[in-house]
Amino acid sequence: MCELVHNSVLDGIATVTMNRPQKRNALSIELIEALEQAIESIERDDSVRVLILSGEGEAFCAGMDLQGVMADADGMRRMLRGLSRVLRRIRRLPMPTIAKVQGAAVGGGCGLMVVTDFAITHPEAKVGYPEVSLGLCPAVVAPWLIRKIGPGRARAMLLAGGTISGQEGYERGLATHLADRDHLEAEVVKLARSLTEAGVLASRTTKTWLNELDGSLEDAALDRAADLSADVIASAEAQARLRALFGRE
Amino acid sequence: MPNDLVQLGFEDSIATIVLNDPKRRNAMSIVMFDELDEALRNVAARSDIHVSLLHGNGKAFCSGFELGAAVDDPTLMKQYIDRLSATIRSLRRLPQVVVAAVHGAAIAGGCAMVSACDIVIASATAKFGYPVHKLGVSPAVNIPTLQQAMGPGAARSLLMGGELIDGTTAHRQGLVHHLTNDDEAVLVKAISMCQRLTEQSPQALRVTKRWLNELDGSLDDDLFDGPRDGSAEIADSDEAVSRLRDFWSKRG
Repeated sequence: MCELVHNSVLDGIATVTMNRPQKRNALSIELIEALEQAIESIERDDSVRVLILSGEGEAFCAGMDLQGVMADADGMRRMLRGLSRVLRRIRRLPMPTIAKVQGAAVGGGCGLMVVTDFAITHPEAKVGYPEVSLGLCPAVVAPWLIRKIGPGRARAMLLAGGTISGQEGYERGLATHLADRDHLEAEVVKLARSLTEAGVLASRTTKTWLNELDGSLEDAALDRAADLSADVIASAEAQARLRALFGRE
Repeated sequence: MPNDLVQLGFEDSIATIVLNDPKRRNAMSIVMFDELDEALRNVAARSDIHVSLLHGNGKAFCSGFELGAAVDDPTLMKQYIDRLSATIRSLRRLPQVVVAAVHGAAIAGGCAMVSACDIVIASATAKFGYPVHKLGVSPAVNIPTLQQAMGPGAARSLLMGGELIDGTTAHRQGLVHHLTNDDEAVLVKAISMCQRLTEQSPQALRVTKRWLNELDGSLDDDLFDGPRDGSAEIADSDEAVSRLRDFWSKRG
């Protein structure tokens, strides 16, 4: 059976890999649930000092897999709630986290990119939030983008929609590091190894304190976001836009 | 509108609001505030309008409060501050996305308006800043939206330093989102951004803007009232009145 998420730990470095390359790791409900289980096992594993979040194949993550559940309002709500849950669990992991972003990180995939403590991408990657162009509301990712790049920049980015290059994403603060595509893996491993050298207690205390300071531990807005987004997707306007989009494909 | 200090036009689901007192570099007078309020109320009520564009006629976007009148009537400064605080809230809470096209200069109250807009297009040569402590005036009223735009550290430096920064620096610090090389290109780029926005889902834009407002405290009046009261409290102090008079008599 093909596992949707691979999970391995070596020398204190855990790697969680989304494994749905034929769909550019689009987040289906099954993939979100598998991701959540993988994160849960990391939470319990005291030997893990750093987490690398990655995606198999050409793209890190193409975003939510809307096609399957587009017309299924309950399924969509479940999926968005799942995304909201998995994002906060990643944020609240006690150890530092790194997203290895090759190819693309779009919509919910870009949410995974900004919720981690570090993200490394390459100049040609495609990143961003095209939600409003599709008639969707990026409510679930908004709190994490605000914490990453500040409310003003997040506002301008989410309302304008569209995607930007990895180079521009780095300049605007979505990624903390930029590498050549050929060196992406090596740079991620280098960063992960350097992070394992930190004092465990010091590193965990700092991360928890940063989470407390920037509101990452508060649930109310994160809970509401999924329902807000689900309500917009269920609307006639969004449904018509999505039908037109998938009809063209 | 009687004085036409603010022009309002509607076309293709875009509202265009133009500050129109070029002789005074679009300085904000009570009449201008009145007309701007009315324009924003009109735009807010239009469900067929999805984007709004704010810019200034003449050499500058906006040079801040109309100080000449405040020299003659020292009670005006406090009114300006109250009105500015209300205007930045209205801009921020307008249901439609607001795009600012900034050329020339956006000084003090003008810079406050810029910080309240959602997407800011400006030229690399435009000037931004708050050279107002020397007038005995506190720019505290602008703290909420300026902090959201630039982050607390850069906002602190811009508000306390009193120096002007150019568009390039403002872009690096987050106050400006898209840059043009010169003043002439600003409006063209801003209009093209507005057109792009009209292709987005109007409903999704409204919900997203409202949600961002909720997340970052833009709907929280307490956040705005405190800094406004801070600025207002000292607006008609003896120091402010004499410094303003002194400044006005020496201006070139």
